[in-house]
Amino acid sequence: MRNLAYIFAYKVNSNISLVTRLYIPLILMIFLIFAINIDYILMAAIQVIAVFILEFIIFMYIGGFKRIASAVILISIFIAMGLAIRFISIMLGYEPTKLEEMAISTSRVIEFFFAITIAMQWIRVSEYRWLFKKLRLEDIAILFTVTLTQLSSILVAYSEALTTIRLKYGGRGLQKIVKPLVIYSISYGRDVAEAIYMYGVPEPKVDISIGKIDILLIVAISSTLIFLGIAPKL
Amino acid sequence: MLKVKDLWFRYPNSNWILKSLNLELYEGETLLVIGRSGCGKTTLIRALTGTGMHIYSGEARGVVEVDGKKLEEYSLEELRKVIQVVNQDPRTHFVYPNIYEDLYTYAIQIYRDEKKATEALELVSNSLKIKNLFNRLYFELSGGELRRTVIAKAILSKPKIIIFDEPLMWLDDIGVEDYLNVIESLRSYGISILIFEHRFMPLVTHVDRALILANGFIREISLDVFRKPFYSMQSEVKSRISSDEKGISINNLWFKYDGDWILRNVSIDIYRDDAVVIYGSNGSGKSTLLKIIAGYLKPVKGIVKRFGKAIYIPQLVSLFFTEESIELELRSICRNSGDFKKCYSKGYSILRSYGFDDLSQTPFNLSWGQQERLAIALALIANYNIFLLDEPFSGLTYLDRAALVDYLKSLPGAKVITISSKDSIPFLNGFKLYNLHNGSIIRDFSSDRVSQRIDLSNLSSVYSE
Repeated sequence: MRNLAYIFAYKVNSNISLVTRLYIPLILMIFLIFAINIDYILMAAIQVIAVFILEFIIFMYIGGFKRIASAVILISIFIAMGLAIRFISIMLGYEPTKLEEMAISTSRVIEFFFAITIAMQWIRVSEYRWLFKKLRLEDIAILFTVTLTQLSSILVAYSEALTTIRLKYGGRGLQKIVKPLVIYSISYGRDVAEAIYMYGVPEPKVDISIGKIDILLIVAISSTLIFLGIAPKL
Repeated sequence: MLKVKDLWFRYPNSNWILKSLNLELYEGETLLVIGRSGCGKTTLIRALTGTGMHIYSGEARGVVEVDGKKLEEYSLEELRKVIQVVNQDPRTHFVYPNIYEDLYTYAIQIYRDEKKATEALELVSNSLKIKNLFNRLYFELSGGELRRTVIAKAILSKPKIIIFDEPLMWLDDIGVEDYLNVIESLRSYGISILIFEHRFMPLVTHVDRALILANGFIREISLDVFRKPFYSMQSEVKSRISSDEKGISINNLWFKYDGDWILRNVSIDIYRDDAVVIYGSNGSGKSTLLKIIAGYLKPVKGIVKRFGKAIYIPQLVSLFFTEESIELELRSICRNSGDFKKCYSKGYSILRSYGFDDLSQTPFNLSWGQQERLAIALALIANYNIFLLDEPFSGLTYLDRAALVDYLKSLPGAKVITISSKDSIPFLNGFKLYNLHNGSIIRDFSSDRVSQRIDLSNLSSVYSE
């Protein structure tokens, strides 16, 4: 849970423009949704590996790959569910999904999650606020800003609640965690509202100018993804 | 600087919490307001700043004058430049996670000029020594660093009055020292300061006057008796003789988190009826050790043996409760026992014997001290006999601390509590003290030889005068 908290935290001061930092995770997400064709299993595997390498390089630049990798354990639940469904399908005599197709799909889910993480760690909360404002979503902008900023603190409290309830009820009745969490969140939210009343929500200062490095990055990543995307069709 | 005349305040559908309250804070004065948990300290702050009326839709009567002008005559923007509040939980003050960005954008909001904002931030960050924190995220800071950063934010607008709501909450000894230094700096700048704090002893030599808030009224009190150093208030103590049957045995325990060793070669035997206190600064691994003892975390190396059932009660004790009434809590606990009826009837009498007569009340509305006692009573009903309490004193007044210690001592079973400040040690008469430092634990026999006991009659007299 603590590692999950760090996923939502802006990580690095970078000289790269907001345009590039927004473009790269977005284009990766679009690629993962539309470009990978599971019918060409070898090409799909190459595509998935290439995206993983790209994401890994970005994470190395941002730092903190270790934390993210450990947070992936959280999504291992989806992998376990996939395996369970496959096992049940075999047991019931249905034709199960091919193992290699399942592996590709799971990798896509993980890589999509990585792309979201890159967006979270690479783009400042203030920049998200600026983006929402540009989209004329002013109220959502404030809500999103404060929620994202406070999420890490709240998740740490959630982790403490999880420990407590698991020990109190011996691993059973985990659904009981909801009430203390709701009450904690309301009380914490009220404190945040009081602080906002006294301090306000300052306007962010955002620079969207593009440098040479940005053009280079956008061109390099776009060409790689375009090549990977059209290669199966050639 | 601040004048309150005949102030009444209540929340919607509730009784008056503040009743005809009068208060004056002079220019450059530091005023301490003490009072039991739930006495209305935070409500008074809300009434003084207008949050009580604007956020909680409360009703206020009477006059609040800030710097010669009535509260309602200020625009919010003007008010922020005259009076500022530092909340109990400093994390709530951050709109942006990055320290520099949060402070800089706030400075721009006030000064509406980049040059002036930069100058103000430079001045404040130098005087509070927070420049080294600029590139960090707020939730990575220690309690003391967080408090200092939030105070920097509060004084950016150069307010004439700063109000602190329980500023020592969650702070370890280093954090308290840090805070006291900041208070002295603010005093030297001539800022009027109003501090609401029940853990008042570290503050008594740093304030000009003290008031007590009780039953909606406020009155001046003398804290002269507490102005001498803590450890002069000592008396003899007899070591508690405990059973020779082991409750917990830890041998050569090692624990690593994120590549760093949090606990190194920890070995400790806790006997069946032992009362043990583990003292260490924030981040020293106290909570981790409790979670390992409880069996929630697995050590990297070493052996932990529990000769009984262990329960962990967190620092934020309200997270322990899952039901809307004490009775439902009891039912929920008993549902996991083998014999519901027997458990329920035993639980009912245990709760009554510990003063919980009204089982229909919600645990979430109890005071911090009552919540601690209820959590322990419920654990007792569920046949736990190893009680692990993580910083139970954080939200307690000194009298409540003494009451909790007496309560714990009356319980059968091994008790392990953690503390992060030495001002709690005088209350822990009869507890074995261990120091957790750099991942290693050592027994501190000083607490056996001389108990730094506090004269509770002095404390009681403060509250009961």
